[in-house]
This record gives sequence, structure tokens and C-alpha cells, in this order.
Amino acid sequence: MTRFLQYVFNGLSSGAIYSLLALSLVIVYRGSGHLNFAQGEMAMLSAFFAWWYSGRMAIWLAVILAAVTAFVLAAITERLIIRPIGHRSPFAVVVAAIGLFLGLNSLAPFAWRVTTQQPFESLFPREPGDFIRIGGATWRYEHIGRLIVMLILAALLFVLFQKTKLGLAMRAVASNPETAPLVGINTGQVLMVSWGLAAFVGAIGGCLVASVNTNIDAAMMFTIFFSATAAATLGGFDSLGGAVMSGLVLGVVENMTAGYFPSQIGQELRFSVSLLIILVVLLVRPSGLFGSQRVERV
Amino acid sequence: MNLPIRIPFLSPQHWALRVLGVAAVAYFLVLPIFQDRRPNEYGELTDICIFALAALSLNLLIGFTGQISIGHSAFFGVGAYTTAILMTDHGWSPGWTFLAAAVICFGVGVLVGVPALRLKGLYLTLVTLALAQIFPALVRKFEWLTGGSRGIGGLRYEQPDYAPVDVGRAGRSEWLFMVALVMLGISYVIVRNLVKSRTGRAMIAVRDNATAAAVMGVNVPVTKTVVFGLSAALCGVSGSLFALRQTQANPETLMFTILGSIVFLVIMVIGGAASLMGPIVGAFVYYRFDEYTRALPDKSYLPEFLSGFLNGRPNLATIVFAALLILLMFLAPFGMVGLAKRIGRRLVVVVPRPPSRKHPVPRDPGLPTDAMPVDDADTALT
Repeated sequence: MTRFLQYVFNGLSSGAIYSLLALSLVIVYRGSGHLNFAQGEMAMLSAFFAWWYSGRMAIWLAVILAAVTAFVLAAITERLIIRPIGHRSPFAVVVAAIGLFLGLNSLAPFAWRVTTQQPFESLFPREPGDFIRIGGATWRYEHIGRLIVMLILAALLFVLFQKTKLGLAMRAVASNPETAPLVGINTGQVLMVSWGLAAFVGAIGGCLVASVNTNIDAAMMFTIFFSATAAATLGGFDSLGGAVMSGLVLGVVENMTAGYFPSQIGQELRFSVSLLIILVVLLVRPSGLFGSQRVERV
Repeated sequence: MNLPIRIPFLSPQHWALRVLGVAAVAYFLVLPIFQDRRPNEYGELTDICIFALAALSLNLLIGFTGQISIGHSAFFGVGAYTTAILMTDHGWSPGWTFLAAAVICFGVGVLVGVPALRLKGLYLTLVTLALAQIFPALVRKFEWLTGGSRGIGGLRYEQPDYAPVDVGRAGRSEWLFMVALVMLGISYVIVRNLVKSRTGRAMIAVRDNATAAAVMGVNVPVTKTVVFGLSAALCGVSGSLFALRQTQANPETLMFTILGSIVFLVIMVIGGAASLMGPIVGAFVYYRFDEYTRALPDKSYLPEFLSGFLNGRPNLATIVFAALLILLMFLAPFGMVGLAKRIGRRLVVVVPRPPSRKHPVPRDPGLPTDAMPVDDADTALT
């Protein structure tokens, strides 16, 4: 039971990151129907910004400032790159996103002239004694912190989408991009805000990853981004609640498979769970657990 | 003189143009065989052939069939490990392992392609992303087969006695280049014939409008799966060559991670999606430019502040290529070869010979007579 609880606690912590990244993917997908392959790299770049700012200010302030930077940069990216290309073809958008992936991945080490891992200050207390004990299992403060930050962000997003006029506009664009402009919604603005918001959430996720790793490097988001796509797929790509839920579920399942089958699966293959989930979901129920069925007209 | 100049199909002028094109390729790729180059120059040319072959396989899938894969690094890796394992554990001669790599990768490709039948666009890309992500991890995990993170080393393709090359290291690198060139040539012919055949038209129809293709009687699932398998097989062969060129297979190799898939995609897009020569041109441009910027900080003609700026930073080429990839999507989604063709068409147009009464063109009832030439099909991609 202790072991089980331990896997749940650790899983919720890594799952919180998957949830955050999956939330970013879902926000972008709802807005424009694109899968942003560069989402993970945007988060990585934001973590580099936070690392850069943190030399001058408190780490928490640096993280928030980095998230705001990410918001602005992503909104500009949407306006200047993604939207004009989107008029051409979906293929072009995927290629452009892959170009962004490649570009950001090498831009971060290029701009800051760092090719090795750099130390990143932890956002939460992480002394050896910083944990609470539940049923024999230890739950470290930094793991609880990740989960809480994710839940707060998810709650804020929920309020934004359900209670504000901007959120209403975003939901309108998501449910019908053709008719939204007819009721006076500035679709372009909504798309820019969607990308900005997604990058904001992703940036917090990236900083949390850096905080737990206590270092940053250009490859830090590769596997995490992959698991986040699995979480978004499981949640059904257009459901925010689905993204949060399946991110957490995925984190716990991964930790349990890796923990209970150390020799067969282990840490190396823990994300094969994500592969399996992607395949099964796409073959059995392509709309995911929480997503809406899409009807296509020929 | 009125532009464009119109020359009839298969006229002497047309033949002259064709010979010119072949001569250009021969100058860059075939001529080095007859010259005395240094071994590392042959090595570079081998790399270019390998990249061209991988991009060619990707072009078959993305350019002509419209299925986006970012998992080809996995097929590349499977090919490399097939050669490595067969050579070291089973004592195969390297030449035969190409065939084995092709067969195994075809199988893996079809296995991946089968779920792809139900998946469109985005979802297929997700599955291939998963494939790229999982391959290095699998290699590390199955240590008894792949040597784990140590990898498999000592893969040498010794030149056979009948090969017209020197003995020793110099001859070996030239021999490998010749093999790579022949593999590239064979694959080029396979892809060319496939694309210009009935199947090729089916592929392009699937790309442009899968529903319409199905209505016209194209078996969309079979076409997609087989093309995925073929593409994987060709990529596997280039992986085999890569293992021989590196003389080892190692999971840390950048080309076996998702970045490898992206490199292939960059080469394909720069050269020209849905163009036959595109991957070869793209591989040349990619490799030479990458090489150039790598050495850039040490160039003497560079101003002090620029070399100081570049020093200690990662290779500039990656950022340039990323920007180019995005820029090409704005300006020329058909790539360099497509662009050259467009410009060339303003100057010279080859007019198909009209069917004469004496020698009527046999009519294939399956195709309209004004069917688009395959080389023009790239317009549909934009």
C-alpha cells in the first residue's frame, strides 16, 4: 500500500507537468485546429528566459516574467508565421511548426552561448526533510507544489473560459470558426490570445520541469512533450478538463508501470505507456475520453 | 526571341536538355569516382548520398502521398542496427544486409502504416512522433541484441577484390561511396518509375483528395500502407549505409533521434517536396552549408567581432535551416527544384508531341488524355 501511494504521489507530480503541456496543446488546437509541435520547445525557451531573469530577481518573479515573455512571443509567432501559412495548407503549418521546433531548440543554446546543462534554482523547498508522510509514503513539498500550481492554473483557465467575455469568444471560435466573426468576434485576436495563453501555461510547465531537475538544457522537453501529446490525445484534444485529468492519469500509470515492472519496463521505457495509449485511443476512440466527436462533410 | 522557347517532346533540343541535366548530376556525383580524392572527401559524398536517400524515401511518403512522418529516424535506426547485428553476430557480408534492412523496415513500416489507415494527418504524425521517441529507448533497453548504450562498433565494409579501388583505407572509403551511389541510383529509379506509374497517380490522388481518389476506384488503405512500407524500406537502406559509414551503431547518435527525422524533412523541403531531384539537391545544399558554417568561426576573412560572436555557440546552420524551412512555406513550398522548374518554364517549354494520324497514341481508358504530368503535380501541394 505504501508503495502504491508512493507511485501515486510521484505520478501526480509528473502528471501535473503533462497536464500543463497538454493544456497548452489543447488551447491551441481548440483555436485553430493545429497541433503545435513546437509547444515543448517554447516551454524550454521560456525556462531559459526564467533562468536568465533569475540572475536579477527572485526566482518566482523571474518565472512569471518569463511566462509573460512567452505569451507575447507566441502571440507574435501566431500572427506573423502560423496564420499566414495556415491559409496555404495544413501541411505547410506542420512543416512550419517543425521548423519552429528545430529553430527554438538551437536558438536557446545559441543565444545564451550555453551548450551544457545550467543550474536552475528550485521553486519549492527541497531540503531532505521537506516532505509529509501519508500512509508510510513520502510526499515531497516540491511534488505537492507542482500539483498545486497546475491546479491553480487550470482553475484560472476554467474561470477565464467560462466566466469572461474573452473566454466566451474563445469558446465560440472553437465551436465554429466560420460563424464566430458574424457575431462580432475578432477571430484573429482570439487566435493570438490562444497561442499566447498556451505559451504562458507551457512556460510555467517548463519552469516547473527545470525546478525539479534543478537544471536546464535544450533537450529537457523532448520526452515530456511526447507524453503531453499522449495526454492530450487521451483527453480528446479539445477538452480542457480532459487534458488535466488524462495528464494526471498518465503520470500515475507511467510511474506504476515503471515501478511495478522495473526489469521489463523500468525508467527507460516508461513512456512506452504513452505510445500504447496513443495507439489504443486513436484506434478505438479517436475523439478521446472527453473530446467531442467531429463530423466531417465531404 | 519570344520566351518561352517551345521545343517539341523528344526532339534533338529536348534530348540535349536531358543530357545536360544528367551531365550536371554526373559532374557532382559520378565524376569523383574517376578522380583521385582524399578519403574524407569520399566520406562526405557518401554522407550526401545517405541523406539524399533518406530524404528521397521521405519524399515518397510526404511529397507524393501526403502522409507526414516525423518518425523516419526510427527506420533509419532500424536499418543501421539490422546491418550492425547481422554483420557482427551472424557474419553476414554487408552487401546482403541492405536487402535484409529493406525487408525488415518494410515490415515495420507496414505495421505502423496499418493503424495509419484509420488516422488522418495529425494523428498519423502523432504515431510517427511516438515511433521516433521510442526507438533509442528500445535500443538501450534490449541490450542483449543491440549492445545497449555502448552500441555496436567495428562495422567495416572491406572492398572486395573485383572492386576497381585501391587497397587500404582510401580504397575502402571510395568503395563505400560507390556502393552508396549505386543504392541511391537504384532507389531513384524505383521511386521515379513508381511515381510515374499508375500507382504513382493513385498516390498523388490520395494526397490531393483521398475521398475523390476512393470514388475513382483507388484503394486508399492499400496505397497508403504500401507506400509507407516502401518509404520505410528505402530509409532503412540509407540507415544501413550510415552504419557502415560511421563504422558503428549507437543509440546516442543524433540521427536516430527525432532530430534525424527533422533533418530529413529539412532536406526534403529545401530540395523540393514532390520532386524527384529535390532530395538530392537538398542533401547537397544541406550538407555543404552545414559544413561551411561549422568552419565559419575559424575563417580568416570573417571580421573579428563576428568570429568572436560565433565562437562557443552551436552551429549557426541549424537556425538558418529552421528559418529557411518557415520562409520556404511562405515563398516557395515547392522547394529549390520546384523554384528552378518554375523559372525554367518561363524560358523553355517542352511541348508534348500531338498524336499523329499515322501513329496514334494508344489510349488508356483509365486515364484522361490531358492527365497532368507528374512533375507538375507539385503545384497541388501549395
